Amino acid sequence: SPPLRLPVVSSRTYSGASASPLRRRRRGGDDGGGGGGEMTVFHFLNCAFLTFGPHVVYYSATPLSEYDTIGTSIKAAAVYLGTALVKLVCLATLLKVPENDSFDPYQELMKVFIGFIDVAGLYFALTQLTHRNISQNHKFQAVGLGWAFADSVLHRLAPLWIGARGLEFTWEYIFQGLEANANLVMTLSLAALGSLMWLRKNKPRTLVPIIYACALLLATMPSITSYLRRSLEWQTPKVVGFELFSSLVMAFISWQLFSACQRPM
Amino acid sequence: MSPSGEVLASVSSALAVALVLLACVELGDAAAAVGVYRLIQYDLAGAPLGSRAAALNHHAAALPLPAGADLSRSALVAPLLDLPLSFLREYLADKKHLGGLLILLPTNHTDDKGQVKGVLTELERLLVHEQVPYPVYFAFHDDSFDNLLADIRKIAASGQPASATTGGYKLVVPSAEPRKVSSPTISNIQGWLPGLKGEGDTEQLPTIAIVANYDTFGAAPALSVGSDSNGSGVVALLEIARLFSRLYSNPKTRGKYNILFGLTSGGPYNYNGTSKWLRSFDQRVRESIDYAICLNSVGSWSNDLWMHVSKPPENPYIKQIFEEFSDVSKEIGVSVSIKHKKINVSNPRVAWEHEQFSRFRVTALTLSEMSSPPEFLESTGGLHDTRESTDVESVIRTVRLVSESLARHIYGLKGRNIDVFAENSSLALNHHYIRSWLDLLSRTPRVAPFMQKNDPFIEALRKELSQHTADVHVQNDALDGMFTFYDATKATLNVYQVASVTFDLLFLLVLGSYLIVLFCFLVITTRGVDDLINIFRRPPSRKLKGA
Repeated sequence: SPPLRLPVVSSRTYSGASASPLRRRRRGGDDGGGGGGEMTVFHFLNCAFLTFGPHVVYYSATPLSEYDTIGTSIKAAAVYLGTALVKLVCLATLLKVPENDSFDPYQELMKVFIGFIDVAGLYFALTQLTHRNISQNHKFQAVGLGWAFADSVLHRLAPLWIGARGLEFTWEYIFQGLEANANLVMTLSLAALGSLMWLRKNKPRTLVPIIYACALLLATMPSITSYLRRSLEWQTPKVVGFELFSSLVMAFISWQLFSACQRPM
Repeated sequence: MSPSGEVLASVSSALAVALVLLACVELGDAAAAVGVYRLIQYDLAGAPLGSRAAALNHHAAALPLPAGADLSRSALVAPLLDLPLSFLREYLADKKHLGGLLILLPTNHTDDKGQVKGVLTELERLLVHEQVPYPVYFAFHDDSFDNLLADIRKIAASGQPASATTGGYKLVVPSAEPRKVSSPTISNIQGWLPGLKGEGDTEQLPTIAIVANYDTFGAAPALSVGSDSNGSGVVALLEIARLFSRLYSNPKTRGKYNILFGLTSGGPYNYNGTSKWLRSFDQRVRESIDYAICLNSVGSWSNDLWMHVSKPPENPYIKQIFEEFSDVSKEIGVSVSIKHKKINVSNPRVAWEHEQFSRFRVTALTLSEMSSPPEFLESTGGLHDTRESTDVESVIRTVRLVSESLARHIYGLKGRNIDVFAENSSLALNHHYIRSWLDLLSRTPRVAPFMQKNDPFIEALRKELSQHTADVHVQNDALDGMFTFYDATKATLNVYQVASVTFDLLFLLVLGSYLIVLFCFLVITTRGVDDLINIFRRPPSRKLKGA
């Protein structure tokens, strides 16, 4: 037998080719020169634009920039960071390390409840922070934007910085960017529904349960996607597609609800 | 509603472009890391030889090459049997530059026609004696490399050679500049089995020496396990030592000869180590050596063994020794033939180990399966010399031949029909011992300059010899100054799948248009179409002012 054997680990592939027995490397090697180094920074910039660009575009395109609501967004981002910390502590305390990879319903339920801490954080950001005189319409947008931006930075910037600059090309960071887009839309929808639930006093009676149902759906969306990914074993492109589609659907529904509540009764 | 319809349209068009992109950049496997072994790099009397570079960072190319391919910026990946040696020879002769060369060694062990062995020998001969200015690596061929080669050929077939703008695979070996191995040492291990001195004997007992060199040299020093050359000789020596130590442990069966066992190093370099070892002896000890038997490559013969001598066969000592060997060989059912090669003292080339003994005027012979002397740096444990090319039976036959002849010489049993090392006796040859040592030697690369003084393998040999013999001593010396070796013999090759610059530009285009569409959509929905137009229209008053 040859003196050195290749380690056998299966890797993910996106074009349907059979799993290769080669070990997957995530880090870029030292680049001695040539076209490799510049190209990969290019890819990093591309993915960074995809991940963070929409937030900037949203801020500059909508009247948010005219009314200078950046302060609200920054405060919302700070609240998000605090919420993330609380969630982390709760997860560490309450969840057990899984021995096997199976789906444990109690653990998943626990994770859903911890996910509601997010909703509590949004509530805090929408209601408790003292905002300057900005309309409700702009308030939820600013809060949602700051929240989603902080989420992207916290969860996606570090992997992007470390991974996308490597020599090896993967679709992973592009999918991550698309996820960030979906997340922005979903956060805005949730913020809209949140402002409806907590800031608007007179709502049409018939719409109230729908509002709460949609808010519940949005709040549990992360659990749904993780369930799809792990238990149903959907591949990443499918999951991202589902996220994009559902975010657009929920955005549309929230928009309808919001405009329905705007109309004087 | 138009805004949401617009959203859907832009999203669907983006998805369509993404599908097109997917079709352009065909993704196969992700990156991989493979262990690779570098071609040896050394200087011989100042002349640089072997692969002179270690770091590799180029796009991969495969045979058949597309027309007009610029190989100086690509690393060629070729399975051993697909690589035409004439192509390589032409490249080396014309001093054409290659980015790098990765040769894939076959792993299936069926080599009926000896084709692989022949190709490997020729390839080694070519590469070891040439100066190759680019890195040359060896790796073992398996399925993952098959996929890699197929992918490279597919990309090449689309008409574009591999380079920075068309994507493909990149081979990267991160390696520092190879440094010289400082003061390479050769370690000779010796052990004595002292004979029985009678009360009246005042003179020194005569000595018989059994010697084998244990180090190797090959094109890929990290793969030079030298199973046959000279692992088989080392194993035979150890077994002979074991048998005679049993005989000598009892004073009643101790012979009137000392037996000296020597495991020498520096064999491929004109038996440099043997010469230094002999020089280190006291002259009286050297003069007491009756004769020396050197073992070289005794692991793959079936019927014919050669006895190489430098003294003419008519010499009475040589004649006697040869007769002893012939008698035993007839009984075993093999044949031993004698071959005479005169030493040319002015020629520094030493082809057989016994020639070093002869230069010190000690009678010596070499037992080998090779009928003609090997060339310089050949048959010293190259790429083809692995465990599969050796078999235990040949070593057993050799041990039986040597130990029986030796026993008859020592105990004066000539003419008597006695089998000293008979089967099922306490002195029977131990097949398991031979097999396990042969397996160990076939897993250990043993190129002398890369073995330190305290190398665990040298220590293992010393320990084993001290189990069977007394007075075990390791003599360390410096390798002949004519040779300089460079390190970096093993490395890890990273294979990356890279996307082309065109892909990145295309992606940037798509991304830019997506963001612009998003921007326009948001402006229209929140502020109205007029605002959008106002952003892009320049106020007409400015133009008049500037004029």
